[in-house]
Amino acid sequence: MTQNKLVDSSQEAEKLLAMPTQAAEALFQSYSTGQQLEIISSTRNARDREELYYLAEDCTELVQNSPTQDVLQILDRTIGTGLASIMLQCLSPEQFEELMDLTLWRNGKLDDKSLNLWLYELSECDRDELGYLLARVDVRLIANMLHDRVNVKTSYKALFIEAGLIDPTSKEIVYADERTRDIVTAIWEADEDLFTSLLNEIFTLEARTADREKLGLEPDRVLDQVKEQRDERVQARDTAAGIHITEEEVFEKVDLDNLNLEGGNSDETSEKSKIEDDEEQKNT
Amino acid sequence: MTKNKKIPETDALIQYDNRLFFAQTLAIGQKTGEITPERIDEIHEDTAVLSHKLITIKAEDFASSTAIRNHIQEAFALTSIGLEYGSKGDLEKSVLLLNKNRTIKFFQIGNTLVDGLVARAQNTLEAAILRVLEQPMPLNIAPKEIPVFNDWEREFLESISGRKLVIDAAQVVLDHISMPHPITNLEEIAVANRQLDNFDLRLCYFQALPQEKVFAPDLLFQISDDLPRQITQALMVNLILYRKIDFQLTPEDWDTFDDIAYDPVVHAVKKEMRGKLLAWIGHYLNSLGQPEEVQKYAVKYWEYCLDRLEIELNPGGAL
Repeated sequence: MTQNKLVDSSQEAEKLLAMPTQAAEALFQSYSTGQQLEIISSTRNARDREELYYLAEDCTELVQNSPTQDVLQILDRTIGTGLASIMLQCLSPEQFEELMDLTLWRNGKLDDKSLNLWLYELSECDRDELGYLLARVDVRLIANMLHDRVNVKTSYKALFIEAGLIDPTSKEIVYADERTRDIVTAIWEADEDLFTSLLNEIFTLEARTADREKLGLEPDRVLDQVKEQRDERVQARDTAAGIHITEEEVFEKVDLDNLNLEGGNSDETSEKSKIEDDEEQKNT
Repeated sequence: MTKNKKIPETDALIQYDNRLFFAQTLAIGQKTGEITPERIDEIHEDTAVLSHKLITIKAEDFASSTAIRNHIQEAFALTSIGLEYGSKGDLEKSVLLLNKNRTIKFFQIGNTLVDGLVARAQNTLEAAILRVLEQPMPLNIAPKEIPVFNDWEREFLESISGRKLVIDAAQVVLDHISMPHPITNLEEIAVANRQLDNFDLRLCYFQALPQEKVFAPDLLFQISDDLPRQITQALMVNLILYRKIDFQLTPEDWDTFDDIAYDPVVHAVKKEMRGKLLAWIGHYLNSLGQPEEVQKYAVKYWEYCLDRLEIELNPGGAL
């Protein structure tokens, strides 16, 4: 196994992609992990990158050492088809959390469509892997998505849930559709405690919503708390990556009638600009 | 639109530069040395970071290179619009401002402007609609809602909602649209706003018509991609034939109108009829106390409807 840096990793990638699978696997597996990553990252086409990952005997290490957004590019090609679950299972918990922080929120709001797609994809994962991945998704998010699709029909909901008398097949649970049933069943099979937490959250959410409606209050702000925590994680990752613009800044509205651009807000205002600005003000 | 006081003579052609205002500013700043190479690097880095943030915030499909490219373009375009707005289109000033402020500031200005436009378009889609207040008969088959915009105009409004533009110039009525393209400069925002102003004025005009007659239970309009125009043309024919405000028409009415008001020699509505109709709508709105701009707009709109009427009465198009 050679440890040297490849002379032209992109040429190597092209060569591997053109070779018969078995020969390509043998060649790819002869490289070190660093070289394999170099070859993969030299290819910008998501489909080609995915093929290269699968040339490894087990691509877990490669995936976990790749930038999450690069992996997301590959996953986005197959999300919602059930095929993305192969690669999903290779992600580290941290990568999965980053992935959820990126994909479940669009324009600062929870994207229900995306959450639905991801949960479906997750329900196709191996159950052990699913439990391990779902631990990284805030159960309040899943409850928020499912609360109007899962109805526990008993007068003693809390009691039934706490006592563990309900499982996904219980006749007390009515699902709005088959996909919801699959998702809930997958959660239960992966992690019974998570399933109980989910039902508890759904139940709490329903009760709180009903109470607030009675009082004529706005819906509960539970999602705001989830988002706040997510924003903190995103900002911490951005800071570590040297990204100094926050989502808040991107969304910030300005008062167009009271712009103060002449004063400037950059710390690195050039002396030349300052002098010219002074001159302009004098002329005015 | 760029105002340029002190740019060297050799750069006179910059006025016709079709690059983004942002790119023009960078080029001038670099050329005159007012923006240092270090600051240029900083601005490039800021824009790259901004594009990256925009992708992570907005992208629905990270595998789509087109979508990713669009978000990068959006970051550049909004920054450019903000810079153009902040400097009032003065390239020399924009160089100064770019040196003094963080790049994100200009993006925020551009984003605020486009968000305002989007909100206005969405409001027009919901509010520029005539609605029947009460149902006079249980079996009324007349429409209960009549948008004051036609099908092309609806596409225009929807494209603005998607932060895109499908027109190059504001018109009294849109009767064609172009391929959707991103909004990249202040002039495009101004064009879109002028078109939105037109819808506001048109709504005032339509609201000034007797609503009980527009929504008369026995009134039947043909299926049309431009119902507001159809209503206006029906009113014109009624005014000429019966001298009354009504929107009910029979096929015979069209024939009579053709005989009385249409000049087959010049393939146009007779001049005096046209003049009377345009004068009538002006007086009508004036008598109701409608503002002058509504009156002026309505006259233009009627001119457009008459032009279209002439085309319909002369389908061969031999003008």
